[in-house]
Amino acid sequence: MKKLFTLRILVVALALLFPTAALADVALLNVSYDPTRELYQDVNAAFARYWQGKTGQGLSIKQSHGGSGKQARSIIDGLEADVATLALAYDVDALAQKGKLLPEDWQKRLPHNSAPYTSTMVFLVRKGNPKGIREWEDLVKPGVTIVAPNPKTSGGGRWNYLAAWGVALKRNGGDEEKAKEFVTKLYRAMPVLDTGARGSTTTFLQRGIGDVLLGWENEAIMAVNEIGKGQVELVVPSLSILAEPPVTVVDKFASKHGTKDVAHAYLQFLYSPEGQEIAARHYYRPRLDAVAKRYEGKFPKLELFTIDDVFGGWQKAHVKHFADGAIFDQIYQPWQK
Amino acid sequence: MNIDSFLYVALFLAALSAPRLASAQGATTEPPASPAAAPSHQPGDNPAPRAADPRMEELDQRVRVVERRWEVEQETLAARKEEERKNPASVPFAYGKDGAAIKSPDGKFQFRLRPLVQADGRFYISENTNTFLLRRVRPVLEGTIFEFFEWRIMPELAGTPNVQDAYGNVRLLKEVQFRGGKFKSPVGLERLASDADLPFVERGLPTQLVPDRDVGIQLHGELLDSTVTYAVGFFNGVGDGVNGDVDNNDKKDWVGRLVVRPLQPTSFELLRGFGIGIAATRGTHTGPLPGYRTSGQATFFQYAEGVRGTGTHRRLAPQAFYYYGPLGLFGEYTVSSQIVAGPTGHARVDHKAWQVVGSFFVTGEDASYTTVTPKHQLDPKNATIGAIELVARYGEVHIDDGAFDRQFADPTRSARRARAWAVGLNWHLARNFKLMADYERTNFEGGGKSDDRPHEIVALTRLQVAY
Repeated sequence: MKKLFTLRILVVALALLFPTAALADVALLNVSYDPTRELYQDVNAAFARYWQGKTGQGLSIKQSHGGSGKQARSIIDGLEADVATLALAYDVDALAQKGKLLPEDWQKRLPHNSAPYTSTMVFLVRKGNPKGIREWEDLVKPGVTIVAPNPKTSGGGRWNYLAAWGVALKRNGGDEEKAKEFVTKLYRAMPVLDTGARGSTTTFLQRGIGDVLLGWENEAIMAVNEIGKGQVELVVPSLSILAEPPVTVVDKFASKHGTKDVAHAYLQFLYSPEGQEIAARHYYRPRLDAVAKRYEGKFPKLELFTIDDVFGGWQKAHVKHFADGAIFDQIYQPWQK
Repeated sequence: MNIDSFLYVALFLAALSAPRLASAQGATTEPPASPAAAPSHQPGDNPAPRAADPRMEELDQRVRVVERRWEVEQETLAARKEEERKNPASVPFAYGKDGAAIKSPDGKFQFRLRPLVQADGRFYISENTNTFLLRRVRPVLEGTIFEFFEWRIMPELAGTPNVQDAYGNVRLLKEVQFRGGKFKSPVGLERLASDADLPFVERGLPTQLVPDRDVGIQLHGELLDSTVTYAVGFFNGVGDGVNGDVDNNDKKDWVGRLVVRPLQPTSFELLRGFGIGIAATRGTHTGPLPGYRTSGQATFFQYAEGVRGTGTHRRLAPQAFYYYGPLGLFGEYTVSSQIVAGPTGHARVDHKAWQVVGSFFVTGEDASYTTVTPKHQLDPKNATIGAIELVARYGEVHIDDGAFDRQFADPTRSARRARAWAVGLNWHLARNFKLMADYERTNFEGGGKSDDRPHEIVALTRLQVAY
């Protein structure tokens, strides 16, 4: 009786040692900023094929898009992203510092400070460029209305603001007051501040509002070549900011879901030749020299400065310009002309 | 009249009666705008061709801006409502995977109710009585006051009602926290694990030698990004495995514990889950001494009548753990050294115990010292089964031979050694619902009238609901 009982227990234990559900399909959630929808649609399809071929495991990747700052807050508040591909390092730093969701030295984990591609801020104008926009100074001419996203919620919005401030500093010998005056005029010419970059594109192209859209280079090139073909033109100023949108695994959630390995592989795929090719096709400047050379002609040449050069990094820029009560809150008053 | 209609009427009247609007912005030298191409249309858009008259063009733009601002505000409102629906943290009252919670609007005051219910079964391959029982029924109450002050009350309603935990914790910094009240003494690795997160239905042999809950004060914290965890406490002092509320002498116990995860900050993934620690206690214990029990709750060692503790009681408990993916391992070794007095005099007796526990999630979840959430909870509609965890353990306890040589214990009733091995299966149906089944065999040296005490074979089951 005793032996039979023991044997039964052993049989059940042995049967369970051969798992039947161990290789279940895996799912990832990529929380990204606003304009990367088309990019990640293609990246996800390509990576899923790659992962299936490498591991035999099915993979589904869900996307969430929105203003970078809003997306970061959503993750901190509990949106369980396995990876975050946001517009700026400051928003990812918030995940580490405020959310304790990943280590604070996250940027070192992937090449190029965890930014597999870059972009910059340019102008999209109506066909024929009726307002004669060529440089940043032209944006504050009387009669020009600008569309751009809100820097409080949108990563692109913050890059725009810092590009404008940086250009004004460089053109005026580092005079902070002149930079503030320029940016104040700039935002007074903006009747609508969308929460994200894609919303601004909608406002400009589909709602027909404004004379110039200030925003991501990739959005602008896509508008010229695709969604706004024949209606808009790209204007590239001679000087702008180098935008480096970062990517990271959200360790706490990826560990919880058991997806750390596949999440890390997903981000590394962005640096691979295939990933870089997809980025370039979607008008993001690739890091890989071989791919960058092939797409050289497709990206306009301009002088670029970095946030570290002009502002001393994101932490300092945020405290000075975007924190509650900081410069942006002081200069922006809604619905002013 | 809604906002759209009102604005259309207002702007139309303004256009009819106001001077040319362009002059209010200053003179412009640009040529009149050429008719712009119509913007691309999407379903649901409200586009219109740009008017040739600059005044009408500006009016058109103002109307579009008003409409678009309205849309953006509606989108923002809808997003905020969706966030509140998905994120219970922003809702004053919520019930979810962490229990029921009430929070003040600013989040600085929180109250949480997190019940724990464990319904067990014990089935022996021996003369013992098989039984179902309520092992734990605990309505755990927790709260936060002004973000930095925490409290916890955990009564036990199963068996004889009593208070298990009742303490306040000041958490001004993660690195330096202060706790006072009744709570687990910071010694045993398995003892310190939550009762809801145990790999087996009952804790192993070394946990018999460490204190359970005690009343006192403790300084504790996490340093270097949680790489180092420490606790230093001053307690009443309790016997091995004892849960105490009051002291029976003026002397108090010092308790200390230090745990290090040396490779946690590195990128060496394979070893980041490794940790090592040590705990120690020192105090003076007098009075009756506790015995030691098996997982089946049978007492296999008991001091003889009249034998009492007297003098210094010391413990040392080195411990280690390792977690990597679905694999979890932990082990501990405990020495409990106490001066004991009996009819033949007094002497120091040193009891030792150790164990190694392994766990493996066959469904791929990451093993953890704390609660594991299944990747896919049990859901027949989607053919998902939750998480399956296999566990195994081996442990021993060695009673000091001096306890028998000095007649502190009867060798025909108390064993000198116990060796236990166990295997088990845990089925995590969802984060809050778990089924457990263990099989354990314990062999003894001594403890029988003429031979060894008969071994114990027991199958333990548990249905657990925990928040």
